[in-house]
Amino acid sequence: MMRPDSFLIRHAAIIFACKTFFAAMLALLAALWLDLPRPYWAMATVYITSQPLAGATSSKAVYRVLGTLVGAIAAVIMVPNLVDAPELLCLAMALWVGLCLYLSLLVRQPQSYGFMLSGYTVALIGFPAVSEPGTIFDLALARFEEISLGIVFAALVSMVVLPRSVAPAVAGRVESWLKDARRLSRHVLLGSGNERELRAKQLKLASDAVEIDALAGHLSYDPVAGANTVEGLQLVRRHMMILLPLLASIADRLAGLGRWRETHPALEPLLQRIADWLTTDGFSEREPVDDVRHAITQLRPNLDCDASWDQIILANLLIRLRDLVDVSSDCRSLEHVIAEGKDPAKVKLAYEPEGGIVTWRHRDQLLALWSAAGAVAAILACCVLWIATGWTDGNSAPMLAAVGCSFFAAQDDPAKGISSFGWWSLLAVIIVGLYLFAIIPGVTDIEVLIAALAPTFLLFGFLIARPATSFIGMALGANTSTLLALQSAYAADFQSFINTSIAFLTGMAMAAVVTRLGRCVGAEWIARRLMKTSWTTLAVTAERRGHNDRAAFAGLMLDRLGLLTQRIAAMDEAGRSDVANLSLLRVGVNIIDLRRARRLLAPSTLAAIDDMLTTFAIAARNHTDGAMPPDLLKRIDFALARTVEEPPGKPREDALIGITGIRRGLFPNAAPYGEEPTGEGRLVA
Amino acid sequence: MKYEIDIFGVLVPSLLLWFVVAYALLSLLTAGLDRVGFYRLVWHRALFDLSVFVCLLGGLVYLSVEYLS
Repeated sequence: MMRPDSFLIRHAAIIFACKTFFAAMLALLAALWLDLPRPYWAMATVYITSQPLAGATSSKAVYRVLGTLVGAIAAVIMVPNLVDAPELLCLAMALWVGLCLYLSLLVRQPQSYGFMLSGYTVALIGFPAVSEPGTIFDLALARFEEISLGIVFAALVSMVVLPRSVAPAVAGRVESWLKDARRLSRHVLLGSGNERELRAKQLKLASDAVEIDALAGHLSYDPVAGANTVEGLQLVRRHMMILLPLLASIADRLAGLGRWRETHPALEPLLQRIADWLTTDGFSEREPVDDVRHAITQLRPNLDCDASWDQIILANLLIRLRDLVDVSSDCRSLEHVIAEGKDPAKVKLAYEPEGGIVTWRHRDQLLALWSAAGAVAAILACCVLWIATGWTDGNSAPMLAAVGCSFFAAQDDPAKGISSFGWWSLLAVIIVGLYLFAIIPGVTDIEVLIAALAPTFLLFGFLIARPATSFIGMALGANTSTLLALQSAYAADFQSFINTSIAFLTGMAMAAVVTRLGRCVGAEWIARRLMKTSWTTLAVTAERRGHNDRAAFAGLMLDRLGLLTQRIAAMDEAGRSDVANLSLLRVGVNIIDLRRARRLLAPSTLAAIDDMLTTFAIAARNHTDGAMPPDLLKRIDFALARTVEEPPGKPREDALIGITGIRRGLFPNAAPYGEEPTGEGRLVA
Repeated sequence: MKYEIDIFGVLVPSLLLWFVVAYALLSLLTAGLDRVGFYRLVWHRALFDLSVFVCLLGGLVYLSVEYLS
């Protein structure tokens, strides 16, 4: 069993290339057989939708069909009604594309593809139909049929012929992620490795988590993966979200204890024991979880009225260590269950994130709106050129502007993506020219045609399969099959070929120029906005509004963190260290814990805590750079003093831990609580 | 000025040729300006480049009307 599997994985790119070519030819033949007006659309669709993983292809396929349907309907409604006023029609279509693009940027999921498609399908169907609006219904129907045919064949072949499921890919990524996380935990616990290295590792884990998240988005559409695997992976992902902030908290508390090797000699063997427990792989060699938990509980100091700052931090550290052990042991058992393909619901989890499934995602309305406006402007600029010059074949210019802007809108610098797509399209134009005027005239039947197309398109498929070149392969495959315009009879003439190609490239160039003019903001601006919204979320949490779910909050903040990590090079030093220490995330989680615990406290303590939270909310809302007002530190200490006086019990302990976490997160360099405050607050560690 | 140019029997708008020539000139010019550090003085580089392109194109068309027709 092992051999064929490894063969398939080693030559996955070649197999994918063959599969895609096979699907494309099937789609072309079927479209020719059904006598559809533009059979090449079916072929191009196969190259646009195909992705090496079955789940990815079919999730793209479902939304593509839906998006095309909506787009076709919108075109049928718009064109006949507005055809007497071409300027108005162009405006309507441009606005429609903008609206769809805006929605798709907000969703950031496989569904977003559907929105994007219903946008540019209108452009694809609508612009060519302007000169003959009577045929719009036939045209829209034919285009919908061709595209659906391509989608169906792409999905069918990817599922039936040597399918590659997303699940093993996700499982593999998750496994290596957890392994990295365990290694990082070991470094944190034992204090080995320098800080710069630890930071870099932590950031890498954060950005990997976002990638895994994107990949796992395709899971629910995977026809090959079993339901148990999918559910197990979702559970593991939720645990992963909580793991990173936990580690950051532990590192911070250890730093807060200062010379803990001397003051708490019992701590070192415990940390060593946990580190060993974390990194031992075999189930039987590892010591039982309960023993480790017991060892942690034994060290716990009794927090009484005159508990010192040191003791509070120690208690805090031990609770976080316990959480780490719980989360890690859950991850182990879930991994085990996934590998065996059993039902994950039967595993007893020690750490249960509250609430339903965590799908909080960061949304940036303004950025989405701005990108959409850029697309509208590019389409309108092309329309002006087309209508003003009376250029008959010019209608593909706005069409391509719509496609180009939609495809690349999610990138930080879309103009770069669009122009490189444009240059690859130029290569596609040259290839098509060779085919149309040198090779195809000599071809008489379909078998020879397929043989003639095979080498080029197999190469494109191969390029798509490799992650580094998949963009190039897609640009070449989709453009070549569209421009080749294969039809039942050879009908190429040089004049119309040149005209179409020029319009095609003009559309791309226009999209690039307009996007470059409009998007002068880069990664830096986006990173700053991300930080700003994170602070606002913290303020909302502190103001006792917003959602109360810990895992949901962590999910949202981690999502942002991953987005920030991709732009880390564009950030200033203070922001960078905030990101690396996950300090915002940690403070937020502590605020949520505190808000839960405070209800059972005495009214005067509650008032002190609420006062502190309000001050923090105001400071967070107006936050611009590193410094936090020193007044806040006083209020935190006051709240801490009130809480220490509470009668012993769980609420007091939870509140103490929450306030400690907030104090450490916001004022890591301040003098320990209880001593004369000297250092002013700066958000560094 | 001729509105269309004959390339192997295909009539191509001459404006297209001037587009390509202007683009080539622009690439040379921007590379030179970049080297001397001129762009530090420019607020919006893309807008500046586009304007230079329009000037070059306009100049080329004007010259071609003057001397080539």
